[in-house]
Amino acid sequence: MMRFYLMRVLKDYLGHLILIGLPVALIYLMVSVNTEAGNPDREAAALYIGIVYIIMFQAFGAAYAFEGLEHDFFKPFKARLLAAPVKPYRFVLANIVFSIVIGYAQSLVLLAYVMLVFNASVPGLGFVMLILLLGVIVAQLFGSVAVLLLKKAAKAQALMTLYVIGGMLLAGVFFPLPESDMTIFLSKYSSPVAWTHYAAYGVIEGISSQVFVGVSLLMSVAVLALITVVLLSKRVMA
Amino acid sequence: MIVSMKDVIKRYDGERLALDYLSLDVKAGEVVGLLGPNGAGKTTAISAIVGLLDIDEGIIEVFDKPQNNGNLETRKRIGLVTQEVTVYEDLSAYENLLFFGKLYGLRGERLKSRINTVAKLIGLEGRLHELPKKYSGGMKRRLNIGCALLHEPELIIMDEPTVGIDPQSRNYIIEFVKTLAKETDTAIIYTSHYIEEVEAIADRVYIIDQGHIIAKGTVQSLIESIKGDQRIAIDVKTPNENVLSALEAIDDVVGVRLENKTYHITAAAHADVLDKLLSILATQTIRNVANEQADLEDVFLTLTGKSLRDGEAG
Repeated sequence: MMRFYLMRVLKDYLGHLILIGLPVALIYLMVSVNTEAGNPDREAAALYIGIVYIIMFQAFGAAYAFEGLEHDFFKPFKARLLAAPVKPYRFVLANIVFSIVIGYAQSLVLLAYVMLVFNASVPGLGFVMLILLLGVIVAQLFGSVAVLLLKKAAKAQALMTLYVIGGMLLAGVFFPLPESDMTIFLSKYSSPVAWTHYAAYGVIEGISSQVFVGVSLLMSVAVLALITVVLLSKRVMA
Repeated sequence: MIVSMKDVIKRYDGERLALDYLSLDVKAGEVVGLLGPNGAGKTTAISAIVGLLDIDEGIIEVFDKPQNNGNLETRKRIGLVTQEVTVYEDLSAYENLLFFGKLYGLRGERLKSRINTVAKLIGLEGRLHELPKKYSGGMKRRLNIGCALLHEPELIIMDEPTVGIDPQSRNYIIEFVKTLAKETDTAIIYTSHYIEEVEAIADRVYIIDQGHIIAKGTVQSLIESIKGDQRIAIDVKTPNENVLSALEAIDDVVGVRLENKTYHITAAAHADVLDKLLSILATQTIRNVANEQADLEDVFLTLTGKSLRDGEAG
């Protein structure tokens, strides 16, 4: 059963194109613009831009979770799956686990792209990869909560888009916000998107307290989201 | 006994009565037709049998064990053919069969052998590696059935398996169900609102309306139960639905339905209604008047005063 769910996400060719092809193009474009604007440190700029787009597209990649769950539990498929001699939670788990696997693989492809094409070195690469994994887990669990609450992938998509765009703007990663206590606070703590960025840059810049706070927040929200998914799944299965 | 339902009550949202003291039983090797109009409670009844929903009152036993929605052992012995086509359109037919086979515990050579057998049964053996989204509606329906047969269930539940397909595919499925019933000891519950399908395959029929069984028996015994009535078919050039109520209002007329350009009228035996019928229909240019043989549609019409095909889904 698990192999089948992996096969299902792997066959979403359009999804791969959007979630890998689009950020690859955007990163290339933004790095080029940055270089043209006279920024001398192309590698550092590429790493910053790359991390921003990886985090952003991780959240868009939550589509895997909500489209899979919508297909299995909010369409006629539900009766067929629930009639099978399999504990229903395994279908939810399979959807989420392989959404995380594929989402994480896409993040690593983008990270490798930044490192290989722009020669960007990533200090603490292993830790950055772990933080990006946490980011994917949180994003997919958020997507799952969204669809289990809203019951429609299209609505979940709209909500996630608002969350991603809003989260990135508040984190000040697209463009710097006017400096104040409030914007500094928002850039660190406004959303899981900001926490992922904050923690990843804590590793890159060697600020362990920043890593600790970011990772702690991400892990806490992941546990909360997981509990919410379990509770909502039980309601959907009833 | 394969299935035994006794006085089952199911309410949705605590109010709307979906099953109203519904009782039915299914024995090994028999094909039971569950016939009723849209919203009659057919899908709710089979969902309760499979254990997909909790009932409010009554008893359901499947394979002589109480059915509840955590009973995985019972589910291994049931094959559910859903009303909607539920196959993964982006995976090949073979991959779909592989997935559903594995869900039911099949592995290795046994799984491959069952896929080959089922593929032949459903007539898709040469096209297993194509995507279902490239299939015709009838082929998708056959694959939908195949996914429920892999584990050789002792009870197959088919919920309106021919909805929305062409007559050729429908005949294929009917013949297939007849063969399956004849050659195996499988019990089949077949829900439909197509009378001719149920007449063709069912050993016994339950007619359900508003969540309640209003008649049961063999096709022949049900038809004989209304044999005392006379059935008249009046073919007209320009039918008009507005006269239905006038026809129904005639003394001794039990039921009226309009199909294409023919009024089918059921009236009490020996009642002299023809003159009254013809006078009401005189403006519509009558082309033919004939006596008809009764069928299950007439049984339903006589018992409920309405047609089975009021609407076309559910």
